[in-house]
Amino acid sequence: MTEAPVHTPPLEATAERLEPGDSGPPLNAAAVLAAVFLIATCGLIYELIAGTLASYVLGDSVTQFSTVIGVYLSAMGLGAWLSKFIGSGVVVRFVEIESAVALVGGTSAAFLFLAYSHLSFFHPLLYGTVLLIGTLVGLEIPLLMRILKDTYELKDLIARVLTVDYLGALVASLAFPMFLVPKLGLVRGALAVGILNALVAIWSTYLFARIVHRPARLVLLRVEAFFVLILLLVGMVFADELTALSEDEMYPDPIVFAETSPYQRIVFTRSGSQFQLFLSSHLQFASGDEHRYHEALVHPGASVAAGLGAPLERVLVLGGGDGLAVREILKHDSVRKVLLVDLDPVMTTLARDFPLLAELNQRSLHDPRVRVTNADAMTWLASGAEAEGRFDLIIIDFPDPNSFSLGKLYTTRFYRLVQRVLAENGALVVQATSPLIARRSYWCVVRTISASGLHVQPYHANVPSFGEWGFVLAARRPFDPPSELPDLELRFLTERTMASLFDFPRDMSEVETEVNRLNNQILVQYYGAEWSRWY
Amino acid sequence: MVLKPALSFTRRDVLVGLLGASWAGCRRLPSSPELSGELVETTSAALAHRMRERTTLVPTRTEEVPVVILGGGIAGLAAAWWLQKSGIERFELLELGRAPGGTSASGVRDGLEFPWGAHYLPSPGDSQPELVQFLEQFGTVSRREASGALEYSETELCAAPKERVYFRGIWFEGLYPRAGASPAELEQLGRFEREVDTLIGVRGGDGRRALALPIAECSDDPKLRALDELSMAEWLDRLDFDSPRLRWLVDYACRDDFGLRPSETSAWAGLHYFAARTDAPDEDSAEFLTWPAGNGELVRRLVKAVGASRMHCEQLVLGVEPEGDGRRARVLVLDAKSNELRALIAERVIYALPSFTRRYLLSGFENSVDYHPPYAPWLVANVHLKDRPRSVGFPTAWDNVIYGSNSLGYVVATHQLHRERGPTVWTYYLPMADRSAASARAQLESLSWADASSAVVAELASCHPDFREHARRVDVLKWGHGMVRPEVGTLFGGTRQAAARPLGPVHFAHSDLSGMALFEEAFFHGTRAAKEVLGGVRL
Ligand SMILES: Cc1cc2nc3c(=O)[nH]c(=O)nc-3n(C[C@H](O)[C@H](O)[C@H](O)COP(=O)(O)OP(=O)(O)OC[C@H]3O[C@@H](n4cnc5c(N)ncnc54)[C@H](O)[C@@H]3O)c2cc1C
Repeated sequence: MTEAPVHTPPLEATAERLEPGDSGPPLNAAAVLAAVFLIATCGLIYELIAGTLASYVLGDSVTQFSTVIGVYLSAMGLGAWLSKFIGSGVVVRFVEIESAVALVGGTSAAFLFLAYSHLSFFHPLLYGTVLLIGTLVGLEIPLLMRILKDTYELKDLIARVLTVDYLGALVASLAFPMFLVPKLGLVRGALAVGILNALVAIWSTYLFARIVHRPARLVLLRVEAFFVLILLLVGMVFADELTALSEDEMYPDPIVFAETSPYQRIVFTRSGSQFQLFLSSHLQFASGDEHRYHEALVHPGASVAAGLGAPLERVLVLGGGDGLAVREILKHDSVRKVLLVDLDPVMTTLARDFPLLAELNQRSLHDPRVRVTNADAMTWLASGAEAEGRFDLIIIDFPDPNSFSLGKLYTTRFYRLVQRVLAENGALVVQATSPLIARRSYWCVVRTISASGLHVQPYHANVPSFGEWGFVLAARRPFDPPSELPDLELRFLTERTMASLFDFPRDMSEVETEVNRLNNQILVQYYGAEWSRWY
Repeated sequence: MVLKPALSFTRRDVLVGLLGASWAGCRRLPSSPELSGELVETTSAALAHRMRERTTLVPTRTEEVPVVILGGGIAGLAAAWWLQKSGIERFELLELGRAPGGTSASGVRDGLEFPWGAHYLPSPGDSQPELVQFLEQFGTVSRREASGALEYSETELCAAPKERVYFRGIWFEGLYPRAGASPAELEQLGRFEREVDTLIGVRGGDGRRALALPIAECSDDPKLRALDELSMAEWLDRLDFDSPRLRWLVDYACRDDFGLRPSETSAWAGLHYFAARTDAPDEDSAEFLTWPAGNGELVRRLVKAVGASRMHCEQLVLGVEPEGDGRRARVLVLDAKSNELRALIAERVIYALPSFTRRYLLSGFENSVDYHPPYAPWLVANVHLKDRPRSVGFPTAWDNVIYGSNSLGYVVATHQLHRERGPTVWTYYLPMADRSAASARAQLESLSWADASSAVVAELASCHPDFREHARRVDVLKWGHGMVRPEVGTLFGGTRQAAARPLGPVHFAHSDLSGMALFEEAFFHGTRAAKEVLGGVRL
């Protein structure tokens, strides 16, 4: 049974009064608890918004997401701790903090969507905002508890506030997915919650009027809160314009083409004669130096296959829907058939028909020797790939393993499936992220390929718009790094350059790693941890 | 005066009854527009009830069969597999359901498979040689030449990410929600893990492990067995484990494995869940094997190994009694398809039916043990989705658990197919843990498809904003006697052990003889009974 509220002030309360000289009548306790409830609901919703935003814009990149939530929760702890430094004027501080939460929290989603455009410092901004909101929210309840201290006995106070706080959290966690996100979306949802906070701020100026020392302060606070409220209401009206604005700003150069396929957001940007392709806002290539990447991806493997005695007639490309690797492959006259397996039909259609790209890949996908299949590489390999026969050269060019759905394409299981279509004397090449930035990830790919039963030769190349980039060459039989290059009109590779790619300087040399398997997906963890250190 | 429409009122009651009090405040009751589905039955309930009426019918035919296996669950199938492997040709298996499998049954729709009951098997070690042998036969495990260590197939081990938990509106990795846990709570989690680690290493006075698989191999030491006299909740209290998150984790574990709350679960059983799947302290616990059809995949393999021609489905066993001098047994069985009643005279019978049937089916044997343990009713729903709903937080895992819910959340049946897009099936599990087994069973029986499916939809929509856009169909299955419940004091009283001993020509095999419904136990009892048969008769 809950006890009735005790109105005699507990011992402590006489020592530290809420406001100097205050001895007014007791507060309307139910109303204050209602405020606690609203605050708690809003507080959790901000956390959910930050989390959702992080997972929407950063993909299902796991570590980022947990860090965002972690930062929010520790910031709340920080806020609670900071509250003890607020000595007097608790009510005034409380109202100010409410207005601040309303302003920062309410505009947070809109602000972060806009900030996302400035890729380079999005992360500090995201964490900064989360830290700020978390700290402010963390201050709210301790301050309210102090305000309520004269109304309830401590034990009872804690029980009541915690119950109401818990209820608020419960309501938030139901309302957020069932109502807020589907009906309002993130930007408007955040604004709506901010409006609630602003209303609580305004309401508190009336609620606590009796216990405030200088009523004139209150009027000022009220004006502040009204100002925030109006700002947020305006935001509600213009929310759509705001979100439309943000994408153009996401990229350093003007967008010349953008399309959303079921799998990714495809964006081309252009400045002068240069252009770039972004897939789900990750840079895929820049026309200025992509030749370095694609020459390094294709020709060392072709040399090894030839050296092992493969006729280099049949080539398989997994990923690489932009057609640029195919362009390099077709430079070898022996090639009779190229099969390109890429998940996204929108991408391969663009590679064929979008002038900018078709020019860059020299219309490689129009070549009669080339066939395109749109499928998930893993599913394709596991069912029916063998009907295509075996390949002398296999080029594997997937996006980096930043999610479980990509990480599976770097597992022992995957490389065993690939081996089923690799010719006895054939070779395969895998793009394997940056050995400089993600050193453990890179060597994990090397180890995984070798654990799948292949012999490997790791190498790397410098591609200015990416940085130092890593590849892995592999074959069924032991082999040496390639030394011969046919005469192919290349812009980057010479025989001597190629030989140098197989040398690893100290800061990229081999490190111990586990093997990436379907049942551990350890690479996704390595990758998340390593890239979040840099960006 | 306007009365509330009666339907919505009861629907809310149902929701609160199934999902818990937190749904009481739910104003707008979720409807399930455009959702189709049905109540599914693996066996005809009406038929099964006939088991309880003593029949006075006279069989139209009498046949002689050397060995008859009653029940085509895992225990019956394992017995059949062992007999077949040992070169026994002449035996018959009788199963009530439309297909073998029992509580490991599975289904298929639009090319996608899904479990209706058991969905995983922890990868066994060398303490379960018969089970390893079975898995080797189908290439799930092989032995490394150099070390002799077991190596499981990468595609059959549960792929990462394995588990996540929905906590305060966000999905988090793993089962224990670490986010926001206070240092004191994390300290308790660590202490709990150390307690479990200690138990993994404990051996009784007889040198056997305290908690291991199969349960028959566990130590007899009374000091260890005393744990059965304590509830899991009491055990936690005694060690001052009061962290809400830890208590929830244990509550989840007890409901997951036994369909019971910790306050009723034998502490021996509760700790067995945490300790038995690890070989030595500090070692990782066994990884799970799983398939789109769940353990239905193992059913299929057992059926394949044994040969479908030896299995007779839609056969209701109505009685087992001694024949002649009692060295043989007489089995009365009703063919539900032809409605024909047969009598089978068998040298040996393997009774792989749930033990609660003994009281209705066994008659005329001396020293017959009436073993009638309680069983947890379960509700299982298979939700068919056009595409994958969005999640906030950690991406979809194999097992998706909802913190604080009465349900266990859902398992993604297509997880092992590695397709991130397109149609999928989610298998939703709700153990009816909150009441006595009998009243929970009554509650389950009265549940309509509409009530059950709207509860399922309400809960899943509460953790996925766009769930309703993707859901197409919800099929529901009610398991009246889903799992034997290892309640406090039920494990080592003696009745259970006595019930496993043969009665003349009748040998017993069912997972409930272990007091816990586990694949390993069903398999153990099946092969054990088959060995008893092989040892006892020349055929
Ligand atoms: C919802 C659910 C989820 C589960 N999940 C797991 C899991 O993930 N992992 C795990 O290891 N275990 C799980 N289990 C436990 C599962 O019960 C065991 O793994 C195993 O399938 C038990 O097999 P059994 O042969 O002992 O019993 P049963 O499956 O009960 O088999 C008995 C058979 O006898 C038949 N029968 C009964 N009466 C008659 C009659 N009169 N005449 C003829 N036939 C009759 C039944 O139809 C049935 O096929 C789960 C159980 C349930 C209910």
